[in-house]
Amino acid sequence: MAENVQLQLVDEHGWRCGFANVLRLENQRWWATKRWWVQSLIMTILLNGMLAYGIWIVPLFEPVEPNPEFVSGTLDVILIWMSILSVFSTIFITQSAIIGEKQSGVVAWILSGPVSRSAFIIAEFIGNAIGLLSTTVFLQGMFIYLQFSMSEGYFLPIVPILAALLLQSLYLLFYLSLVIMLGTFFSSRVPLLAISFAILIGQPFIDNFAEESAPWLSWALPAKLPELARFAHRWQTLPSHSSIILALALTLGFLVLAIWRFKRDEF
Amino acid sequence: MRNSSSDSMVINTRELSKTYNPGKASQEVIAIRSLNLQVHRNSIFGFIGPNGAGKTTTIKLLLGLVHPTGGSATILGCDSVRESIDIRKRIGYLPQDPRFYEYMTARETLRFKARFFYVGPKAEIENRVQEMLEMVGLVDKADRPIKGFSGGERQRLGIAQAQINYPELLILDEPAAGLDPLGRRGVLEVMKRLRQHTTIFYSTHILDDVQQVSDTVAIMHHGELLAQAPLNQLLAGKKHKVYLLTLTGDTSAARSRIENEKWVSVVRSTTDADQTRWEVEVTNADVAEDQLLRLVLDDKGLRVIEFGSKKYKLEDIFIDTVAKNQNG
Repeated sequence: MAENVQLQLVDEHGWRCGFANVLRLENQRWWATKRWWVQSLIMTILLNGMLAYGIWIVPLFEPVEPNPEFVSGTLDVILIWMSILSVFSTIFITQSAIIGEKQSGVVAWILSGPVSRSAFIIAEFIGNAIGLLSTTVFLQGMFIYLQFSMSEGYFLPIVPILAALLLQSLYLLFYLSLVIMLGTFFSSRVPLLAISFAILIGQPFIDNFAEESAPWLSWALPAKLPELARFAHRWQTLPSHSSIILALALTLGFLVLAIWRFKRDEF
Repeated sequence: MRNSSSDSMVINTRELSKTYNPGKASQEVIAIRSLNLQVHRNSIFGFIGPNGAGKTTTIKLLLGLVHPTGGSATILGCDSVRESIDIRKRIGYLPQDPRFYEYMTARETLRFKARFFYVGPKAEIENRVQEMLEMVGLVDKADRPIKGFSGGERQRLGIAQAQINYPELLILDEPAAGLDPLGRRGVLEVMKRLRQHTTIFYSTHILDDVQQVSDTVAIMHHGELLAQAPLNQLLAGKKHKVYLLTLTGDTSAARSRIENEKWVSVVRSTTDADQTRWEVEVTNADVAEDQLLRLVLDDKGLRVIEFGSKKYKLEDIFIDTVAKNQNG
């Protein structure tokens, strides 16, 4: 067992130790397994299937009056539907990202190697973010864009649609960071799911109460992001930027909290 | 990887302590009490103790998986808390119950572990993986998912992944626990092969294994270090050496002669059928070896069937040490 001088050592230091390898593993879990195409297929059927039904099937059976608001009106509904489906996917797919690894004992094995705990959390976040955004937001966005363009007979302006998809992405990342943070605090999926869904369902209630009395609060809720996406795809001025700022701040805050908690964990 | 420091101490703990739930009277558990442990380079260090003695907690403290509540530890000259990642670049670890990704094959698992240490070239990483598979005899199962592996195969894979970076220190937590005799023998063989390349620190409660492969031993009990010494010294252990004689014939005269010698502290005698068995405890082994047998043979009516010094088993030392500790 002679020392093999040809092997090149990893040059990662501090919080970056182990990051590339854990991220590679996370990417493999998405792209080297059936996860990516199953997720893509489900989302495509539920989202673009519904759109295809409205655009291509319904007109075959009943005449449709020409409507100049057809694209933007349908896109409004589709974007709301996309936000619901992508958040549900995020919560269900990533509920085990930390808890599952803790329960199986694999995390103790990984952390016994040269891996920083920060790198582990950030790699989990980035790996899952790439997988989820690709399959539930951007791939679906591309199909939606192509369907509308084919139905209208010309390519729609792409930048407004991209802006709407970016707002959808931020909404997804907010929940992804929340789920990962909760995974570091709990060892069971039950409280993680309960808190995530409470935040998902609770925001519309707060929005209802605050709409009249405290509109600033209403517009600050991350749940307003899909609504802002409606303004974005119409290329209209956003009524408020509060929800974008707060969602960004909370996403970063949840990640910092997750790293803080994970560093204190014992395995 | 083996740019070792000149320091011959691989592990050095100073008053290392771990208490779970400190300050909560009803839930407080003292897992490790002021542990002072020294492991020298190139030794095979057996860390023994019953279940719950604190062996695994100590190992996890050394690895940074558990945070100490007192004291400190240096591994390969690095502080176990502040320089934990630097330490983990230079060591290998086999957990007590190794858990890997069940969907991965043994080869994929080793490749994944190797990439924490090496970036390439790819062919060299594959060579290292293959070398480790051969070392632990898993070549024929290298491309099967781990979920179908037996306990012994998982354990051997655990040793392979721990050795993938040619560590300066190999920490094995109960490497042979739960294995059948063949599996145990396999693991011990691998340890013997590795001893020329690395320092091995391993915990176990299987004392026969320790006696087979270790050169230094520490005994833990209830979170306390009761003894730490080279194995030979520990086995010689007792203050006074004891000689065993099996005799036939009338032993009474010979016994009184021996008991009158200054260098004899006690003679214990048991009789079984026509044989008498003596345990002669002496204060001066050199004189005893020169004179004891001669004094017995002076008695022409006596026949000596067996003669030799008493060989202690590690189990005797262990039980003795733990019992002394329990009795205060």
